Amino acid sequence: MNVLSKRSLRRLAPVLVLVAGLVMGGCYQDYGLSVQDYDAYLTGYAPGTNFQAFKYFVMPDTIMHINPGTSLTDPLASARKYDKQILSLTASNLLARGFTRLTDTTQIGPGRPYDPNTVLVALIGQFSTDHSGYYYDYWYGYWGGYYPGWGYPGYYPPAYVNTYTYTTGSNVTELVQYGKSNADKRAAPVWVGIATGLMGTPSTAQSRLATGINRTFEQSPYLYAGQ
Amino acid sequence: MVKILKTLVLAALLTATAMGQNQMSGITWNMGFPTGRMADFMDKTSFSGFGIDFNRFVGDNTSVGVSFSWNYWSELNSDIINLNNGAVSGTQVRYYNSFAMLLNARYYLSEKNSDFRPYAGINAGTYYITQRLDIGVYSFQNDHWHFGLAPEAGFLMEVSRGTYLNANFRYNYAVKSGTTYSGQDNTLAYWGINVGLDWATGWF
Repeated sequence: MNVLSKRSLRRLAPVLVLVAGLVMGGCYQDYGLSVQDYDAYLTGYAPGTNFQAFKYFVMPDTIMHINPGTSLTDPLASARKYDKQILSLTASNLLARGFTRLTDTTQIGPGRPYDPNTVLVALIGQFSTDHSGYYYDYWYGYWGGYYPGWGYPGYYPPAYVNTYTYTTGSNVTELVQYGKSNADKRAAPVWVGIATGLMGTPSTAQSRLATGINRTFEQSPYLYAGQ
Repeated sequence: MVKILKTLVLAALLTATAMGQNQMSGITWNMGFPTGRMADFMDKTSFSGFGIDFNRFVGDNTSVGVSFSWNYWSELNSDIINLNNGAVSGTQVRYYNSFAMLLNARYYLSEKNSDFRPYAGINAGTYYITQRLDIGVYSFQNDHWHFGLAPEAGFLMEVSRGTYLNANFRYNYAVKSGTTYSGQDNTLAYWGINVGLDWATGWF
């Protein structure tokens, strides 16, 4: 008690609070997020685009799966069952924004009923990305050291290194001006909407995809057809 | 930065070894209210924070000292973040951590032995501020050291012999240091309400 007198303890209290606080400062509050909370929606448009110059859209009835890897197996094959819903929902959003869908592309062109400068092409693609990494679980190591059998070596990695792997899936919608391409002869979109989220939870995939597609349009108030 | 840290440590040691009766040591519970550009990112009050102050009287009505404090903010929302040519949205967790290491000077308005001593002061030093945005599976963090100033006004009220209630308002202003992710001015400011206890005692 002589070593830790009441007076000393009183003086040490702020230091203890400081240390505890700094340790806490290294942590970030966990809100207990669900799988759908990891969904994100990104939109972008080409600067200077006058979306009201467009009145029509055409849309292929196929969703492209982009697989940049060397594997011949399509990692998104199981998502094909949502294609119909995605195509329908995307078209519905464009119709709700005042665009008229054209199905006969022979009617589009100079001297034809529909000016190509007023037509957008809606392209939809999907891809998946694998993520992996590791992190040190310092708190677990700290408390774990107090239990029999763990011992103090437990403080040091790699005993408390955790690894993680997860896969995200992305649904990409591009709006391209009909007949236009960039210098590389590639489609140059005037608008892109991306919905991305964790894969592996089929029970919620359908509703999350629908939410994601709708959100990309909702956060693009400038995207509507001219009269 | 090393020089600043050395100065702060030296100031703390000088305070610690001074005569007990001329010193005040205290801890405070710190609340933070973002304002200006900081409030654009974090529209929430922080109730997670604390401070440690050491002050030495250099006259009947004047003290100098050091102040260490920490404020922590976090917020869960799903706002749309507008970008230059687009937008991003989704469930987001936003964080700020502010660590302040300041030298201060205070002027007390009442008599030395008064039970109630209002004061006004100025703090100057460094802020280490971390800003983080988690959205989707991605996390963006932006950390900077800032030079900062913090004018304050408060009071000491003696609640028992040698023990004082300390309460103050402090306007924390961290000047521009680096830029945000979007290349904007990184000046940050928040109001602080700090409440705690001070002891008229030396440090060891």
